[in-house]
Amino acid sequence: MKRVIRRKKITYEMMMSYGFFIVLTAAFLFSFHPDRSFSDAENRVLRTFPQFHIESFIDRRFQEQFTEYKSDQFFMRDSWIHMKSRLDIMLGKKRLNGVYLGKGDQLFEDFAPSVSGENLASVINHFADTYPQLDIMFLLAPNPISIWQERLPMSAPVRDQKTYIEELHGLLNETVKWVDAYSVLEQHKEEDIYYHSDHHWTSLGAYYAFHAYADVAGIEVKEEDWKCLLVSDTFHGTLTGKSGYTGRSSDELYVYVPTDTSLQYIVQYIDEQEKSTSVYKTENLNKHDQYSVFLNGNHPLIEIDTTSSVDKHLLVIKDSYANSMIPFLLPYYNRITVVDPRYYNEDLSLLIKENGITDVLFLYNANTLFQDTSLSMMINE
Amino acid sequence: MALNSIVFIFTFLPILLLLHRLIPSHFRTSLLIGASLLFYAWGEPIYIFLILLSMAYTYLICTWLDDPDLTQRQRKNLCIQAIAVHVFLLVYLKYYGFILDSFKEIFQLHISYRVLPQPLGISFYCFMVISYIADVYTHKIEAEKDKKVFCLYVLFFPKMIMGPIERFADMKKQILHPDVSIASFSCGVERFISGLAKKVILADSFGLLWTEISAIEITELSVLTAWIGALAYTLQIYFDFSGYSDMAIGIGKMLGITLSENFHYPYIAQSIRDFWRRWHISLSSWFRDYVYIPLGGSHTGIKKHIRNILIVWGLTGIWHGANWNFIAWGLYFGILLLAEKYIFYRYMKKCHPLWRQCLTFLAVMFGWVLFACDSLSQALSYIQIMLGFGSRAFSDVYSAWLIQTNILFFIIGLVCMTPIVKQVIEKFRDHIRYGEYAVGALYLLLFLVSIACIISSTYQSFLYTQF
Repeated sequence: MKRVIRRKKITYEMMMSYGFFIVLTAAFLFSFHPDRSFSDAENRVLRTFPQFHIESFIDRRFQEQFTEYKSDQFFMRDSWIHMKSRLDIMLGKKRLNGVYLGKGDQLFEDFAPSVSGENLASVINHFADTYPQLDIMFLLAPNPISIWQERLPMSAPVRDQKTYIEELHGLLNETVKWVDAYSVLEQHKEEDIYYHSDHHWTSLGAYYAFHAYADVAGIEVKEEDWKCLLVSDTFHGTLTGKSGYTGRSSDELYVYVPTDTSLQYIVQYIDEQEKSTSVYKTENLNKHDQYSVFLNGNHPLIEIDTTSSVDKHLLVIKDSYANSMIPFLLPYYNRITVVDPRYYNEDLSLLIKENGITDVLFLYNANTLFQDTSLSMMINE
Repeated sequence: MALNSIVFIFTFLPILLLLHRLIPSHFRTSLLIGASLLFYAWGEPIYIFLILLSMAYTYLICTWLDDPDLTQRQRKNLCIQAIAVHVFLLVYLKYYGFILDSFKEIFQLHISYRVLPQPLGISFYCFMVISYIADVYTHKIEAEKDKKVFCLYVLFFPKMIMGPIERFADMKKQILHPDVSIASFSCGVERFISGLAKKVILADSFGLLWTEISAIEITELSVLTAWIGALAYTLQIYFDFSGYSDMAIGIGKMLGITLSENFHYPYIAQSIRDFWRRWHISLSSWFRDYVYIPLGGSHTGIKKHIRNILIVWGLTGIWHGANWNFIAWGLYFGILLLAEKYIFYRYMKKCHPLWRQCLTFLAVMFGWVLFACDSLSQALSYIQIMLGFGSRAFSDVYSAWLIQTNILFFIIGLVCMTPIVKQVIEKFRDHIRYGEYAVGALYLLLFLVSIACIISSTYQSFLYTQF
């Protein structure tokens, strides 16, 4: 018996010592694989080998950069991260890096309001008072955390977004026409109105919201006006990136095109000095963030001139939810100006005055709106 | 560089281990000194000169202390001078800001000052050097003549940043006769991996939980949430610190040097006294040998004993950090120890051991709340909530959520703080057929999972420009 234990002990010791040493050496040798410069999963530039200077060693910049370099370039970095998220889920975690993992692998961005409804309402009311001649509409899209709350993990401690939205609605002036996106999205909540791995609504969600908008704006839309095309089924959205969890097979991405092809338009990205004859930038479907297929992502200022016979000029003040809804608006305005307050630094009143704006649409999703301070800064300037 | 960083594990360690085995054995001490210098310079490229200066000074003073021509008085002066230098170093680098802030508050003064950054491991370093000086002074040891042995004692990198606080007599034997057998190496690997896993799998998870809970306004907490937070911190600090000690001991063993044990399952202690024999052993024995016993210990009558206990525990508290809540934390234990000795002793003997364990654990947990909060007043209001005074509710959706998503972590944590896991693994390894392979594979798996945790902690996804 003693001999057996002794033999087992020796085997064990050899295994531990050599095993550990082999793993260390293997990892050390693997560290010589060619460096990656960019991580799609994390959407950032990875650290490459830092330059050594005695000064950078003394102020510890070299050490910090070298430490980052070693972990950024670690062999199969993404797989290790994936392994950890799997482990966390196995042990019962339902929230990774602030992203909730709901039923059916639905990912939810947390609703963390930091700007009060009163604050937002006063800003928008002020805007409406300043421009009584304009037709102002407000479309606030709820997020899946509210519409799809049954799919949240059990007893997830989330704030009730609906009360925030209703409070804001109650505080707005009569002159601001409210587009009730909440009800229409709730009616269609069994359909794929949001992506599973991204924090945006799908084109379908935007399509329904557009119907609600059309009712308020007095636009008549027929079912056969639009047709829907599948353009990608390999979309892994921002929430996959943020949580590090890639459990679900990818999302499908659709775009809508009008059936009447007679409408012509030109899209101008003012700051970038670029023009395009499409609101869809199909090259972006090859990128990691495929949602940027809509209007080529976010821009401070976009102008769209159309051949529409309706002599109206719409100003859209918006966040990224608008990008997939704006295509629906093209036939009903002969000019649309799109401003994203988070990037726009010019004088808004001048823009309104000089361009002969007739209609204004505020188009936000609740997560962004209740965290956004750039809107009030732009309007109060 | 931390012992649980990628740079250490996958660059520094493999190169060092390889060199350590390849070079002739009489160069090993020099290699370890060089490695230790590089290790410390990596974290403190400037303060390393301070450490070197202090080291040379200590070496000279202590050699002088052993000079037979000195009178007793001269020796005493020398010793006091050397200790004072290190106490001053510690006070200046660690408590300067705290002392001035306290003065400002008490005397309503306006002083502006600049605080120097605190060097890594300065508290551990100073205590170790003081123990050496005191031991030479009291003739427990002779001043070391061999500069290399002395250097390695002072600088040996695994213990440099978070202890254990080694005594010279123990470490000298290890340095002169390192155990470079396979058995020692494999034992080191075992310790290192379990320490790493404790730190990055358990401690960091509990740490995240505590960070989340402590960020909430205290008045918003429900009773249950407050308890979950306190338990999370209690487990975090144990797995963090004992994990780090395990890593240090493990690396020491791989290099043939056995460091002293620092933790011995403190959360199964049967009394506060027992707890402090199991928690941060090298610190409590330091205070015992160099403060408590010189003050007269417990053999000087009740009044002096109470004084001694309060001094020792006030100092223990402030050693942990420059803030009033650390002092309160230390004194809390001092008072508990006195109460245990003079009041509760009789009742405790009658209690079932399990009850004693639970009560001790609770007392320690309340202690950690004092320790963890940013200020004393905050800690007291947190404890108030835990006791149900002024809380909004006993439980809420949030506490249900926390329990639901963390219950397994807590169970694992509570099991891992007892000796059960180790005993089961050893039984399995030695008595089950192929058990040794299974246990080896288990350690490999733990190591891989730990790597995943380390890599994952550096994960930072940048949202797209559109959100």
